[in-house]
Amino acid sequence: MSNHETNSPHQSESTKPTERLEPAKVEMKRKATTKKFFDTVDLGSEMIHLSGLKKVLSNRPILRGLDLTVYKGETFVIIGYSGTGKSVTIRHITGLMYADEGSVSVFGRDVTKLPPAEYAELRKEMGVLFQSGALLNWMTVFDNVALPLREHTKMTETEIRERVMECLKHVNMQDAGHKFPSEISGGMKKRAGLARAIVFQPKLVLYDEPTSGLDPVMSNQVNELTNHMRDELGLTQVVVTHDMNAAYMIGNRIGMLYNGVMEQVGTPDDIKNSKSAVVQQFISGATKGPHQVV
Amino acid sequence: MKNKFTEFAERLGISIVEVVDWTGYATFLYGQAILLSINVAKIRRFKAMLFQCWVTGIESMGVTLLFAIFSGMVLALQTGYEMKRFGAEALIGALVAVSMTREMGPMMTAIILTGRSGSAMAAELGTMNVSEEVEALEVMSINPTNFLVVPRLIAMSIMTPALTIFANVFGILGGSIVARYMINVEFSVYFREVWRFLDLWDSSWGIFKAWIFGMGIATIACAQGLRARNGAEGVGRATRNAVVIGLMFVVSFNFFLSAIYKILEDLGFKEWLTDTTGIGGATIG
Ligand SMILES: Nc1ncnc2c1ncn2[C@@H]1O[C@H](COP(=O)(O)OP(=O)(O)OP(=O)(O)O)[C@@H](O)[C@H]1O
Ligand SMILES: [Mg+2]
Repeated sequence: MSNHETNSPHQSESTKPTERLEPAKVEMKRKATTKKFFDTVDLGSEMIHLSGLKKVLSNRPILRGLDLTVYKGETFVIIGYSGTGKSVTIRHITGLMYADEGSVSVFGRDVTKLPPAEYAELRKEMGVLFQSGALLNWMTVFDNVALPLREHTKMTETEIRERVMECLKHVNMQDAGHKFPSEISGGMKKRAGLARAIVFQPKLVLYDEPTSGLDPVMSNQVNELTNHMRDELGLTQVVVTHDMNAAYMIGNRIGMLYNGVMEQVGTPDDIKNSKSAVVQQFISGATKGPHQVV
Repeated sequence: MKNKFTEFAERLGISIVEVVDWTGYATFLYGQAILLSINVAKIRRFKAMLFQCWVTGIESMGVTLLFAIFSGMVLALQTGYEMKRFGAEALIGALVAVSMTREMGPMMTAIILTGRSGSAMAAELGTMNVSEEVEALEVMSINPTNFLVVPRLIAMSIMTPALTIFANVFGILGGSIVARYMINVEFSVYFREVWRFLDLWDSSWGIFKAWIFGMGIATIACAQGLRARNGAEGVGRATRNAVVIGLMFVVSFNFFLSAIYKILEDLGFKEWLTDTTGIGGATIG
């Protein structure tokens, strides 16, 4: 595998793939879903830092000075109403959008104005899972997962097979490699998408609504996988979701995006007991409250 | 009244901005794809390109050839009876050959490919776009232009001229059947006239036009697909636009390219080519 550290100034941080598999992390019980924030998180190391982020799209201010810090090893859940800019926030982290104002730093490196070509390099250390899995429908699951390796490395087919099967095993899909996306269920598509997201051994995985459109069992399966990724692979994760069950189950911290800023950031318990009317309305789903439903 | 007018003006303004914006985008996409395909010596996209050649070219072959045969037949039919009245039916072959190679062959092929491949490309890329697959490619640092547009552009720029050559041949063959069995012109006479009037440079210009059409159709379809928004409806709109804009592109460029050729001919370009290369030139022009 390529050496990821060339892109990161955080050479001293434990970012080597081997260290991310550290057994100390494994002992965390996966069933302890509302894990305490400090259990896994390395507060000394900021993976993502957004500060004062502003973005106007189609003449509408979407982000209005967003501040957000995600620490190494945590799963940070972003909740918020449709159209508040959760996906836009993700795109600022992946470098598909650039901030109008404010700064973005990823892996401890200021990337606010990083040119697209260099961002493309940096992005290899991130994996993204999209809502539908975003698999290419003319390729098998195996080829989909292998795609980033075939595009960006000179690995031999044997090495690729090994790595792809390893990733498929993580998502319990080692037997479905030969299938086409049209032949598998929505949940399997997302799991395959997740396998593709981690094939490059990223440090950071971003999920955009991983459980929407899935039945409760499949949703839980994906949520368990999300926790598996954090606990077994030591990944830092940012998850965008509307699904409060999922948020409580996987989040070390949860932040609610509202009106272009973080309304509240806290542990699942903080959010459950939030004093903010906006947050309470969102988690209870009340139609009356500060958020006007039109 | 005034309200309606400002509203109309506003909408017109927005449409104009959108058209200019999209045209700019399509031009940019074309330039980018051309630059990337020069670099395609990295044979990695070869398989994707062959696949596109299959889909756009080979699978369109049947319908194109059928279309060509019937076009040749109707050409021979319509002109044949008229010419027979003047006792000039021997020249049917010449007429069919000239019409097919100069205009009908390239136009027809381009129109079929717009409807068949252009729409399919726009729908495919549009679907990929609205289901986040294009964004997924970008996130994986795979350039969508390189990955999606280049194979389609190259495939179309190979297959449109190739199909045009087949269409020309089959159109002329179709004409021969009508000439033989309905107008009573012997095959030998028909093909002698075809051969006498078939002009290398005219036919080549027809194939050159087909090449331009192919690139245009692919670029338009891809640019529509990659700009598709808002789910299934947006994909439908992109597909429709790809066909409509594609057809407008083909008919308008066909006129301009034919006009350019006539002007070049007037300036003696063809004689110059024939003289310098020593090939081509019809015995009767
Ligand atoms: N590329 C773009 N150009 C213009 N407007 C955009 C663009 N991307 C997003 N927007 C607008 O920004 C707003 C926020 O979009 P975003 O996709 O981030 O919402 P979201 O919070 O992810 O919502 P959802 O839960 O529906 O996915 C929306 O109103 C959207 O129309
Ligand atoms: Mg979204």
